[in-house]
Amino acid sequence: MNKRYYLLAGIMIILGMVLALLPEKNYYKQIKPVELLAEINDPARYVTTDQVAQKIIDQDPSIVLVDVRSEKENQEFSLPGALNIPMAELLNTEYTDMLDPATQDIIFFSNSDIYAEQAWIVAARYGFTNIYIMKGGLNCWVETIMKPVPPPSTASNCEIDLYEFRRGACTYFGGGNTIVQADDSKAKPLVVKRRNKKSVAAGGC
Amino acid sequence: MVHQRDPKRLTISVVVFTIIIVVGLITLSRPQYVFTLDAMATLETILAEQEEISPYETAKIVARKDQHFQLIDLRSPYDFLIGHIDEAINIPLNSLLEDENFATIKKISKSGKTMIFYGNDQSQANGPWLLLVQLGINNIKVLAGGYEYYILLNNSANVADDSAYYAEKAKYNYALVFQEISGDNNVFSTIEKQPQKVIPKRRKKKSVAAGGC
Repeated sequence: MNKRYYLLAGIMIILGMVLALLPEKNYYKQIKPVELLAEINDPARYVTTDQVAQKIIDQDPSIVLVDVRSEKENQEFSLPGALNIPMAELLNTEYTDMLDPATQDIIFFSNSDIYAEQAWIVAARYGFTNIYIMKGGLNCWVETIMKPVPPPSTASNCEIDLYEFRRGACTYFGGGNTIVQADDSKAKPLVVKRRNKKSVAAGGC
Repeated sequence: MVHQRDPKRLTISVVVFTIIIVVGLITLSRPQYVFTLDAMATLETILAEQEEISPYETAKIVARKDQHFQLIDLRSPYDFLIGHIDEAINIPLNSLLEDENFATIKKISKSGKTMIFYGNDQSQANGPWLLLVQLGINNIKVLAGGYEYYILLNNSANVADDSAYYAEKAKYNYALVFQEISGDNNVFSTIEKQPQKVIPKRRKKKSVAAGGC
């Protein structure tokens, strides 16, 4: 046989081994530093608590809320329907597999927006798209949604509308002693009227 | 076989092929900025929580004109003109990676100084810090609370509202607030509490047709 065949076979084997040793390819497209800076600079990555409230109320299926606080904090209080991914587990595939950046808008939140933002950057670096930060975090959530401050009487219509929305949202999330009277909700014991059974003895054909 | 008639053909094609690959590798444009940390290492940096520097410490550094530190103002040039911390230089956030600015940062970093980044609030400096850490610049601190809190602190020695500084601390006991506003009537708790409707089970009537005596 021709020596060249051995040579060619050798080259193929070496190339094959190189392919086998290549690092596993990341599923997500890597972001470039300049792009990342542009994203950091873009205020569109923030969503307000009002927008988040609206989306929860609308039961928007395209959003997923991610709580980056610890498990303990999450159990004490979190937003309805939020996933808890503690910061340390952010790149754990067990958790990231629950997220699908292709079809969902992922909204990170923490007590404020600092941890959420850090999580955002790691996620952006990892190649996630459609990621957002809830501006102000849960502290702001309490101030705006759970305890909305009534605007002064001189406020613009816009502000009053916003306040009305927040009160409505507060009712939705909190249940709202504000509107529903407490007594009404105490359901009367349901009395089921049963028909008198005809006793077997009573009848017959 | 074809190549046995022209035995040099294979060698020539191998040589040509190698040349193409080598030329390709040489002319491959190398990106100007390359991440030196991967996402996992970045996460570890975040979890270490070593980046914050308190406004009190910063104020002391400014007062004694410490040469081991360099303050860097990330706000817009306009904000910088209106007011900034003494000795700070202005590198607006959006031009952070322009050649000139990045060269400045690298120079400061090489000289062994620690940079203190600040923006209006802490989160404005957070992103640039993480970006540069990923590019291999390690000696950066972030001013906790940002410029606004720093000014507040300097104007009045005793600031009661330190929420900007401890931004990540829960300001409220959320669970308690939640209970306060909801009482018993909230939609989420009532879902479980709703009394189950009693559905009377009826016996199946024996159809008349089914039988009888």
